Parts: sequence; C-alpha cells; structure tokens
Amino acid sequence: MSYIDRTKVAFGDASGSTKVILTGAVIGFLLPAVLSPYFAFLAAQYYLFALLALSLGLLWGYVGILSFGQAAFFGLGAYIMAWSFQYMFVPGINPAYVALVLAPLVNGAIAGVLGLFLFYSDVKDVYFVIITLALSVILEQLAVSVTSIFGGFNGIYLPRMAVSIPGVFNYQLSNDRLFYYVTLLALVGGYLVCRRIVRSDFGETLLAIKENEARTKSLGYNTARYKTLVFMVAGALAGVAGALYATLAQFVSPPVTGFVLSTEVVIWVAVGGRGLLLGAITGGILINAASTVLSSLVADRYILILGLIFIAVVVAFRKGVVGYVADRYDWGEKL
Amino acid sequence: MSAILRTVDLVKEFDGVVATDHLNYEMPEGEIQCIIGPNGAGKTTFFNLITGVLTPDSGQIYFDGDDVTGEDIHEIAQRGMVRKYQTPSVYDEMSVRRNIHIAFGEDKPADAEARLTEILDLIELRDRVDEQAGTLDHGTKQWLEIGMVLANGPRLVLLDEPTAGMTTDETMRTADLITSINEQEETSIIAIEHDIEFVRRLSSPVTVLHQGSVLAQGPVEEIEENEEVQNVYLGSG
Repeated sequence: MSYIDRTKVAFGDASGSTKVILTGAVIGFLLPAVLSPYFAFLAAQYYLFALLALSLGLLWGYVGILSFGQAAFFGLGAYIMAWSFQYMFVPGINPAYVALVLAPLVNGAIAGVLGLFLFYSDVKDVYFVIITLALSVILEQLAVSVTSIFGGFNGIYLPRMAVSIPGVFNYQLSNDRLFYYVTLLALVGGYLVCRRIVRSDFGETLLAIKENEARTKSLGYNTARYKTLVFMVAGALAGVAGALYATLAQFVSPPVTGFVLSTEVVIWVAVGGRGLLLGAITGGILINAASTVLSSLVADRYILILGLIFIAVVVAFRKGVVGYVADRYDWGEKL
Repeated sequence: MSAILRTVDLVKEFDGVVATDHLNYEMPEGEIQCIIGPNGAGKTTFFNLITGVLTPDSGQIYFDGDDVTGEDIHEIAQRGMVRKYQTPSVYDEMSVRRNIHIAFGEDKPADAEARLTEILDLIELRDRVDEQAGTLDHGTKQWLEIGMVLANGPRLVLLDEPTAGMTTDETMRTADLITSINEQEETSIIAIEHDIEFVRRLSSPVTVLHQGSVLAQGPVEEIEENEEVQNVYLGSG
C-alpha cells in the first residue's frame, strides 16, 4: 500500500472528532496559500483570541470555574512582550523568546498566589467571578494611569518578533503569512496541552470537582490544589496568547487587558460550547471573524447583531454550537 | 483490640441548640456498629464532626490513635475514614467505571483494573460499567456509592442510612453486602440506620444517641428490651 493509501485508511478509521481536528489542522496549514497578507494577519489574530478562549474553556468547561480575569492574563502577557523589547531584560537573547518564557511564568505565579488565597479559603463561585473581574479592571486602570510603565492610552509600540538562533540566523517575521504559522502553532500546541490535561486522571478529577466538589473532597482529593493548578495553566496559556498578540499587532494599549475583552471571551466560549475544548476555540475564531465581516457591512450596529446571535445561540443550543454538533454526531468527550 | 475511632467529650452547638453534648464514643477496629436514635438525636451531626465537615466547639476526635480534630475533609478522608452520604451522591454525568475510578482517590492503586473488577463483582454491577450513573435506579446508585467508598481504600466506613428508600429485599441484600465487606475487606463500619430489621440482620452492637449523647449501648436484643430506649422512641422520654 502506498503512503497515501495508508493515510486514507487511517483517516477512514479515525473517530469523528479526530477527523474534525485533522481537517481543521490541514485547512489551517494551507489557508495562507489563498489568503491575502491582510487576511493572514486577521486569521493570526483570531487564533490568538481562540487560544485565550481555550484558556477559559479549560477552566469553565472542565472545572466549572468562571473567570473574568483571563483578559488580565492576556493583557499582562502583551505588556510583558512590549517591556521585553523596551528593556531587553536579558541582553543578547531574543527579547521575544524572553517574553514567551516570562509571560507564562509570571502569569502562572500570579494565578498560583490568587488560587492560594481564593480556592484554599473556599471562596464561593460568585465571589470568584467578581474578584477576577476586578483583576481585569484594576490592571486596565493601572495601564491607563501609570503612564511611565504602561504608556497610558498612547500605549507601547514594539516590533514584530524574529526567530533566531544566536550566531546562526535571525529572521524577522514581518511577513504576516509567516507569523500566521507561529500563531497556528501556538493554538495547536495549546490545544494539545489542554487535551492531554483533560484526558488524564488529573482531568478526570477536574470533571469530578465540576460535578460535585464536596463529594470529591470527601474522597480525599485536595480540590483547592487542583483548581489552583488549572488556574495557573489557564493563566499561562492566556499569557502566551497575549505576548504573541502584542508582537503581531506591534502595539499594546489598555484595552488588551480590560473589562470588555474579559466579557467577550466568556461570550466566545459560551457560543462555541464550553463543555469542549474545540468549542472554545471555534467560538473564539468564529465570533471574531463574524465581528470583522459584520463591522465592515453594518458599521457600529454589528455589536447589536452579535448580541442577538449570542442570545439566539445560548437559547437554541445550550451546549454551544460545537456542543450541539458533537452531541448530534456522538463525538462524546473526545474533543 | 485497639480503637479505630474515639471521641472525647465532643460538643457542638448550633445557635444555642446543643446537637452534640459531651459525646464519648469508641469504635473497636474491625467491627460493625450501628447508631440509632430518634430524629434530631445528633446522628448526622456526629458524622459531620468526625469527617471534618463541621469543627467541634470542644472535645477531641482520635482516628487510629491520632488526634484529627480540626483537620480538613480531604485530610481525614486520606487517612481512610470514608463516608457514604444519606442521599446517593454518585457523579450522575459519569459512567459507573469512572465513578469507581475517581473514588480510588489521588493515589490510584497499581492494580486499579483488577481492583475495579473485584469491587464491581461485590456490588454486582459488572455488566453495567459503561452505563451513566445518573440513569441507574435509586437502590443501584446506593450500591454504586458503597462501591465507591470501598474503592477509596477505607479503614473505617461511615454509612449514613445506607438503605434509605430501598425495598425490603434491597435492604436485606445491603445488610449482607455490608457484612461481606466487613469480612472480606476487614474494614470497620459504622452505620446510621432507622430500619430495625436491617440492624437485626447485621446483628452488630448498637449505640443509641439521644439529645446529642449516648443513651445506651449493647447488642440489638438488649437495646430493644431497654426501657429508656423505648421511652425515647415513644416520645415520653
């Protein structure tokens, strides 16, 4: 059998969900061939928003923690990328690499400390929502008012990142089609990490916590530790998304961290389907793409239309669009 | 025989109502004991106190000789004191298999699969491993939950009205299941129960709680003859 035939057979044998994922990845890989650089730029942006949505999907869908703070982590990641170019924390090393290491570390640490305070003191879910929302608002306010560090409304400009091996080569990804692949890689990587997590014993425990935390505690699980760890992972993912977003847009300003984005992410995930990782990703890509299209067609009224779509989807498909399709074709929890 | 559980002068008040009043209780390792008592006697509060759901106002709780007063729910559970709630609290959205697998706890046993089969045989759910727990009938859910308690590797099992809502036949089978668990797995078991038939079937020592402290202790037959106990149940005590 030829290689192509074998691939065909393997694809035929794969489960419905694997087909969807593979098809998505192949389309994602080939897309720049047909996209103009501007659309490649937009698609890259959607992928990073989808990665942000994924971080919330992991939290909300698999542990039942609704966080309005994911935008704060995204925004902090973006500023870390900007500062990394501005201050060259580690001279001689590609500042983008430094930021891509620092962003998840700093975010993970902040999420860890927050988790220690909130989850270990058994803060009720509602208060957790409010506290994380406050986190986004506080960071946005800081970004607006502390101009010496955050640049205020004028923001901070930074260049597009380069891929480099010191002394060997240094290539700036100013071509949007090339940078597209960096974001695709980040999204696929993030998805694989999350998928690995939710399919492990650890992930099984997360689902148990989501369904009945008291019961899970009484089986001897330190549920606060699990929640803190997932919150850290989600914060780190959002941080990577934000860092890449900064160098994609080459500009960072307060809205990347604030209240509006926080709320939007929740909507993306709800529309896509919070019970499935692919739901969060799809929601993030679809709604952002829809926003672009609608805003060019009907200008400002697009927000109203999006609002209506949101209500319609939540009423019609309680598990989100992908959740509905997955139920219908019985993909189960494989996404 | 050493005591697996011992409480010393345990006190718990709720807004001035004394739910547990200087309760002294001792449970020898490896036994089955039943706790009975009229409504409001403090039976469930007693379970809540020893499992760490509630913290006592005063007094001590010793598990296997260690003072566990004030420890967290999951810490006490990890020591091997595992509770089955009154209403079945299985994970409705998960399969029978997954319910048991989660119940293995943070440190899954090395022979998890074999152990899973063993437990499924004991609770007679081997053919239904892939069914969603939420679709099981009430009695079967209770059994699944007993299986989960077992999977958790308990040294002391606390059963809060294990036969609530069961038919007479199911009740008797549950009593036999509890007896065989006690024999095969060598776990100590405390059961809160209303059903005197069930208590007779277990033929284990009985503790009667009344107004938060121990009223009487002894074999079933003796307790049934006890005048004080009769008064409490007739409401004149």
